[in-house]
Amino acid sequence: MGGDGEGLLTRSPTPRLTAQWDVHGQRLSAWLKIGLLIGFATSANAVEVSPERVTAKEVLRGRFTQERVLAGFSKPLVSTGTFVLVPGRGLIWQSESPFRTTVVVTDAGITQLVDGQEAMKVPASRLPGLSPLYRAMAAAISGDTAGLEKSFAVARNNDATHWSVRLVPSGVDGSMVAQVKSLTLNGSRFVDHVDVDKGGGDADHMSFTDQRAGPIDLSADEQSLLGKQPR
Amino acid sequence: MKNAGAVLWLLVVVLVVAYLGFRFVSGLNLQSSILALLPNSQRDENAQRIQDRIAATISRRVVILVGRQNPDAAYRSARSLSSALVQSGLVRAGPAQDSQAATRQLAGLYFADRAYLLSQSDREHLLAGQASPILNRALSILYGPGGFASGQLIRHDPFLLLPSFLAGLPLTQSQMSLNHGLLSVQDNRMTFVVLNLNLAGDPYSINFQDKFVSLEEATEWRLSGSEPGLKVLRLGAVFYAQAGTAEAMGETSSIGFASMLGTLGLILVTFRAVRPIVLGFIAISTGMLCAIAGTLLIFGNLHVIALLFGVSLIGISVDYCLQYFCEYFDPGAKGPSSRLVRVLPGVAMGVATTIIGYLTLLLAPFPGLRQVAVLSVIGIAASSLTVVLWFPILDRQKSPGLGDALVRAASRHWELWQKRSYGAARWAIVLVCGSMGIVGAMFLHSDDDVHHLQSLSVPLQQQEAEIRRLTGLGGDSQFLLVRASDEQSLLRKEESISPLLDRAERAGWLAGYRAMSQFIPSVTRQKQNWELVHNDLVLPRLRTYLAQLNFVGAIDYPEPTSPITPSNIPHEGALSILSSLDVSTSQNPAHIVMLSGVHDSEGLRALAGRISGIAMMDPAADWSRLFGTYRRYALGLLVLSAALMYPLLSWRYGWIGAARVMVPSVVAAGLTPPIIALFGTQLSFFNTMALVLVLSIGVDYSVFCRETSGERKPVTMLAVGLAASSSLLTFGLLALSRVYAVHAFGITMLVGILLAFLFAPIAGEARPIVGSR
Repeated sequence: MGGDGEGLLTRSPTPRLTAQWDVHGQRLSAWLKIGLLIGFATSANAVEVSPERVTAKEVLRGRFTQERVLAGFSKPLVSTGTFVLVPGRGLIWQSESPFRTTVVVTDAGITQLVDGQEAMKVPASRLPGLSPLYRAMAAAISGDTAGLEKSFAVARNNDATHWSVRLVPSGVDGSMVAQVKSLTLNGSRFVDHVDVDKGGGDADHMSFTDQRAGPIDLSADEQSLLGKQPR
Repeated sequence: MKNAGAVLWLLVVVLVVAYLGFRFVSGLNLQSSILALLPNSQRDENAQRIQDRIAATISRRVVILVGRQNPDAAYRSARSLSSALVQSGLVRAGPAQDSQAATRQLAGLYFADRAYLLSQSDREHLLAGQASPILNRALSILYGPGGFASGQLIRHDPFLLLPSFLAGLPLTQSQMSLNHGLLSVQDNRMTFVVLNLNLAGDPYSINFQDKFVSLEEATEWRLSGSEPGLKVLRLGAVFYAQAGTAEAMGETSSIGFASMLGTLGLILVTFRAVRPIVLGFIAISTGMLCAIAGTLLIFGNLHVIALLFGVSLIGISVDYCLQYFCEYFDPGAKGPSSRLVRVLPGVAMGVATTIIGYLTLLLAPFPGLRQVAVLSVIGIAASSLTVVLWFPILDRQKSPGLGDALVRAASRHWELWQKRSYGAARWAIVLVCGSMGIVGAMFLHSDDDVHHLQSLSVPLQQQEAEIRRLTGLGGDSQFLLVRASDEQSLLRKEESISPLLDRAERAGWLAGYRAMSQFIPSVTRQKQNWELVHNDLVLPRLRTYLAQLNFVGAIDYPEPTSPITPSNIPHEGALSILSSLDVSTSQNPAHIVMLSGVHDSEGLRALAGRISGIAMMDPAADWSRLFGTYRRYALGLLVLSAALMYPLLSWRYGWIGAARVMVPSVVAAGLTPPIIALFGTQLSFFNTMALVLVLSIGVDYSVFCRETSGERKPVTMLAVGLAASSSLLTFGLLALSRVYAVHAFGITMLVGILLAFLFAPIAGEARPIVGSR
């Protein structure tokens, strides 16, 4: 029976180590959330602005370009590829450049595949807060913006053709969300740009193009990827 | 002269009672541990102590899944149930789950030694000379969506090996998600919240069981009443124990009551007097008292299992009493002494053969069977002494004058086997029994599963299966015990069995395992890891890798200054599991490797046997194996005892007469296993012991039939019939039990005794009955 070891830690080893972990360790779980936020953000917009809402019976496809700025790196890490968001099931993020990798984010956790081989899987239980975030995403898709305001302070700025949303973690949902300084989404019909300020000089800038929402038409590969949840 | 014997016997019985009283006051040494049933050479006391301690810990665990369609409602209900139980003081909450804080603590603990730690797959890659999977993973994390890899992390752990090590630790059940400190799992639109609790009391105490289970049920009922749609799944020894106790109580009162009422009724109706009941009770109880005293004197202790079977075996001494009392129906027997003289040869031969039957159990190298033998031999001898020495004095002179309706009925049974006109019926019986035996033999196999000792509640078993399916949590009690001279050797031993366990896991022998060395590798392994990392990653790859990433900062990834060891890491918090994996005592360093979802216990046992100092511990399988061994011994000894009875019987009845005396009981003991197999009951230690009884009882019936003659034949048959009826009432009714082992014992007795009685007249003299009763 499982309870034995996974308990709360009450004692930090030394201040030095704890401090170092604050720098590195929390990111381990934080990134998953961000992945979900992208999914959430992509669909959030669809709800707010688009007349064609991405419902639980639809799938959103598109291309992305991600520029990652990291402290200590002279140039940003740039990747491009395609994504598939299936509300209620998960997100498939396939990089094509600089190399081919696939990341699958579902309610159960994250699986990363390189050359079709599972390179890493992190179950949701290692990533506290995944489920609330996943639910927040579902809430956004169904138009339940009230659900989002539990975790984020939302500031909107709409005009006739464009809109932008700035999400600042409200801190209610635990410190993990607080790892992200802010998220800025903007677009017209769908989300076109997402900027994530991760603090410490780290940031992600994502652009989405060729987006289309439609009925669920998953290929066999996509089906199996979404089924391949960490177990 | 006769009275002198009776007085002497009284003196012995008084001494026995005094001795028992003394033993009782000074603390009766009643054993229930499996250890006591094993031959000395097979004992491992230290291992047993560890096993008992772990079993005690496991038995106190409770897992409750609270399910509802609405996740928030599920959490609310789970919290109310948990707080109701915790507030009662009957349970302590299990460790709260906060994997964020736990992960942070873990990383803090391991950070300084990060270059000494490799996940198993990373290590395998490096050992195989493959650095690229590790580099590809790091790149894919760095370029991937979200991404936890900050600039700072790359500086301290360029290949992201520590996150990989942490993710590989066998901590939480992986299909569960965690919110607000509680694990939950989704299934079919239901959300199940997992409550991990530890009982504050003994789950096998009837009082505690009742309190806990009734509080749990009442709370569940209240929650379900305030908001329908609640589904609760429960797992824990306490639920099984409570259900088992309730079941056993109900069963004991119904079966026990029916059996007692039936036996009393039978004797009262037959003899129309209370005296046979009182005298029979005296005979059996003196037998049991002497048996217990004798066993304690010889062995110093008494095992519960031996007591259970021994008492049953002694119970057949009621048959000798019935032989005596049935002389009430014999007009030739004028008084107590005359009654005794008439039945004495039959009783003496019966006692002698029975004692031979039971004595063979002494030959088994198992203390349990020896105790059964001593217990039953002393019991039978003492009971028969009581019949012989006391009955003539305690019984009244006059026959009660009981008429001969029953006797006439009994003589029918003789006719079945001796009257020419019943030939067809006899053939029919032989044919039916023979074909049932042949067909049944095809279904016959053995089944020694110890779980048959309990009647496991079916709804609870279904809930356990569902909990296992949903969470992977189960009532696992198997583990490997690892022993060595010091801590580091323990870790190295674990590391040498890990690859075997991994292979077994892939082959489906088990679902997973947790070992100390997975959390804290041996120092040897840590240094090896660093060499692998340094020689195969840092030296050849780091520069190009960083250049590819355009990393221009300074790398801080030195060889750690000191390895991590079990003594310099706290066994609490995130790593509280370590304290349950370390079972060392001051002189005996020992770890356990916890196994979960074991499918092939025997395979794992063989695996563990390959490395010295590692032993597979599986309490249930240990019992099952022991029962299997006991069954084989008992079966062999059954055959031997039949062989040993034969010379004694030949001495009195000649070779052919002895063979005829043996036929009914041998046929009964031989036909019973295949016949009960037809009804789905397989051969186990429990029905083998019943067969030992069937053989002894069957030989008794035959001996009684053989010893009687002329006018006494119907009276003897009446006594045999009464004996069979009383055995059926006391043992046969156990066939109704829902505890499989008890049922198996009962149905074997039922079928065996019916067969032994049916064929008993074959042993009698062939001449037809004289006179016209």
